[in-house]
Amino acid sequence: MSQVDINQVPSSTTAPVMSIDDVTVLFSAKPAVKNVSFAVEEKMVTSMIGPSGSGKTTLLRSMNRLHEMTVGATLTGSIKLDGTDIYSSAIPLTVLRSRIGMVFQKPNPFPTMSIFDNVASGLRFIGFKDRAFVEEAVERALVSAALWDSVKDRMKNAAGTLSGGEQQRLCIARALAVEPEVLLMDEPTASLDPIATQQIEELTQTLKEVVTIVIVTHNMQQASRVSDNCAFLLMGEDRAGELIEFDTTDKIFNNPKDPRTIDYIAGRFG
Amino acid sequence: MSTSTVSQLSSTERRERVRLQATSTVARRNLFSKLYLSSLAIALAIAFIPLFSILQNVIGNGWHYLTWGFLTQSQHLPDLMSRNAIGGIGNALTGTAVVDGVALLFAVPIALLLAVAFFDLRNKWTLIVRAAMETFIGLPSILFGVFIYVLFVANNHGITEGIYGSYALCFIIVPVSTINCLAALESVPKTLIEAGLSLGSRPSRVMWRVVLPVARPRILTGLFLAFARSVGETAPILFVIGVSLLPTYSLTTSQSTLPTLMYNYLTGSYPSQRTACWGIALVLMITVLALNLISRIFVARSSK
Repeated sequence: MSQVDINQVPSSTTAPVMSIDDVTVLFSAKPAVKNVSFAVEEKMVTSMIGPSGSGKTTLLRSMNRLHEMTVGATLTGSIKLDGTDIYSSAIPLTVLRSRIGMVFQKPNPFPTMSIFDNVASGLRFIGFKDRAFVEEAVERALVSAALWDSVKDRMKNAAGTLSGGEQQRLCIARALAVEPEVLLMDEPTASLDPIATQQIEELTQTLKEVVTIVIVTHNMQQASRVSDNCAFLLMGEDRAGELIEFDTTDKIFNNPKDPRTIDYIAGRFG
Repeated sequence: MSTSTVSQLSSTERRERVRLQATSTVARRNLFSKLYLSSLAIALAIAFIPLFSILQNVIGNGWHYLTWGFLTQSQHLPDLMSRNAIGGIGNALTGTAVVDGVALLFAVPIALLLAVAFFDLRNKWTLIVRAAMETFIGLPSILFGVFIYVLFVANNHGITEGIYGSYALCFIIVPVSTINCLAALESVPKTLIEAGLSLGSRPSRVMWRVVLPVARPRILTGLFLAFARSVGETAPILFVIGVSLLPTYSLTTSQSTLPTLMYNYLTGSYPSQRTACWGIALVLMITVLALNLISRIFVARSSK
């Protein structure tokens, strides 16, 4: 069905850290996205673009099994992390989600926790008692999220006192503190102003040295600016999302193969 | 950066440590989770024993009463010659339909008006109305029976009428449905109301054209649940509607409903009437269950 398979990975030397193979996600037996295959390369930014309803977010959520929160959700095909099927019992769900983190559309720091506690929460949830390690991890995560300098003197303040952009970077730090291998970002700048958006975009470029990033975005300029590889999805006639084209971001934006990609990039629909 | 010893760890080592902790926590949790789940299963089984024994008794002893004759014939007093000739429950079914149906007719407009009015006002009165309704729900329902008896039956030379039962049941239906309707209205996203108001329409129009249609399935569910509750009520109507041996649609004569018929049979002196209570209990159970199912259908259909 799809024209792309995982062997058709953009020419590159790095290994895929996640491979999505013929994945169909169904909600109550109705497919939301179907027959998608592509590979997520290590320490690169992979973007998913496409209009609303093309299944980008569904696909992203299925990559750390968050879509299972919806009753009636099922998945066929396979998603592998480092060669292990994430839907097999080989990876416990909680371990999987600490290896594949998620940043959401709206900043969602835990409102009753301080800045420090928010970032420490992931480690504490998995039972870390070593205070030195936790403190170090919190600082490191905040530094990585480019937030350390502005919050280091008010770590005990409530997370809600931060601005929207700072809150989103706090959420990124929170996800980073458990040392994920992959960070999923679901339209992370959709509710932020242009300056905060730029900061997050710059952050992805430094973060990709330590963590693989998959980002869903409505903003095509953002996809072209931040991502190395790009997947273009579109809603098919049966209202299920399909992968139209997957390639390097450069090729998708400058030399796309599929006429539908050309139309979308040129802004003719969507 | 701090200069603790932890900093000496490489990125891979730190990642390893987090994974190790996560994996060991999962192992511990899995054990705890199994213990928890098994104790939960046992507790569930214990909780189901009374439920199943009630169902088993009611269905086992009542199912052979489910005949056309039992459902349609009116009550018949056993005589010396035929001790088992107790007729049917046609009078009580009619009475239930009339008394509860009229109560619903009275109660629904009151509950809807209360909910809509106080949802729109959103001042301290909303809190007072809500508190009042919750107090009503918490009151022993026999108090409403006493109130209606003193107000109507006692002033009517002790004559009981079906409509008094409807009045009394209003005290059951109105508070429950008002609370349910308020909750239904509150479930409507606030942005929809703001969008409506931003078009320059009057709040009442937004309520009528936007909020109520969105909340309708939940409102219907709330009303049906309140109605289902009233069908099983005995105490408020017991001494205000009297007894009617014949089916009648009149509101100004005495009436029998399923719960009051059951009460009369159980306190009566005929063994055959007492065993017939299983049949009445089964009919009552099926009726209430059906009403509950119908109420769920509204929300289930709307969420598709």
